[in-house]
Amino acid sequence: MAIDDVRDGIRDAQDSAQAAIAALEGATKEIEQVRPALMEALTGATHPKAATVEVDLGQAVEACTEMVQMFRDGSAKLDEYLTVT
Amino acid sequence: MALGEVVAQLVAVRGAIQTAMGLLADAGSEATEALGKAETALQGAAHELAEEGLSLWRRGETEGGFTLQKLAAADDALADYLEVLSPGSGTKSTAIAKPTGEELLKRRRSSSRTRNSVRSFIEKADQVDDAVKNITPSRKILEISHPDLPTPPPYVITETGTRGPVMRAPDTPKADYAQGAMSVVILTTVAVVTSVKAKDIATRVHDRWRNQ
Repeated sequence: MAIDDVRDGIRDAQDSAQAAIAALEGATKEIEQVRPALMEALTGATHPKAATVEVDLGQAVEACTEMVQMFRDGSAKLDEYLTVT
Repeated sequence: MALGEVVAQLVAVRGAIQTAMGLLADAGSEATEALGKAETALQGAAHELAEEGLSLWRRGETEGGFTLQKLAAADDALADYLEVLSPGSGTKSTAIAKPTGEELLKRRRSSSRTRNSVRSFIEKADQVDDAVKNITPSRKILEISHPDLPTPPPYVITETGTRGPVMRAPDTPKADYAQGAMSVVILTTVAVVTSVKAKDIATRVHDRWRNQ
């Protein structure tokens, strides 16, 4: 494959990765926006199901943030690759 | 916070979680596409930087499944808890499928409608508070006609875990039978008016939520 084709293919892939990042940031924002209301609504709740919700959502937000970072770092590595080749 | 408000807020949280799940599914699809394109473009290129880049994207793609599981677990737990608070309000979604762009837009609009429903629900809850306050004039009349009428204790609304709100009066001072009977009438009136209104509002909000 010619280097220009490789470059175009990688740029195209990075665009898709950027779309994934935007979707992940949207998902994180959705959760972060309702977390204060959730905390307020669950104040004093002793039901075991109520206790797991905050933990699960916290882990989901953390995982989303990590994924965004992985996609950004991956794109940066591919940029470096294109620079050195 | 009144039980109705708690239920309304938790329903709104579920709406946000489901929107996030849709977005996450979309992110997963984009990530898969990105990997496919990059692997095609880098075929035969055994360069360390290219491998590191692809490896990071693969890890990100795998992490998506875990995140989706966590959101689904939170949604299920909320549905279960809502069923405990207000039976019928915690309907579970049966399947999570990747939404199309149109579906995502629809969800955005639906999410906005949810917020409006919640706002309307809270306004209705305020109306219940007003209805309870409106009992005060009746009490004033009773106080004029019965000067010895004891002051009723403040009401405490608690969650029992399996039922709706319970009106509980802490340590009511003992009165004679006539005064006691009068207090019982007032307390019963407040409890009946509040519970009937609250049930009516919860039913209407729930119906509206299901019809969206």
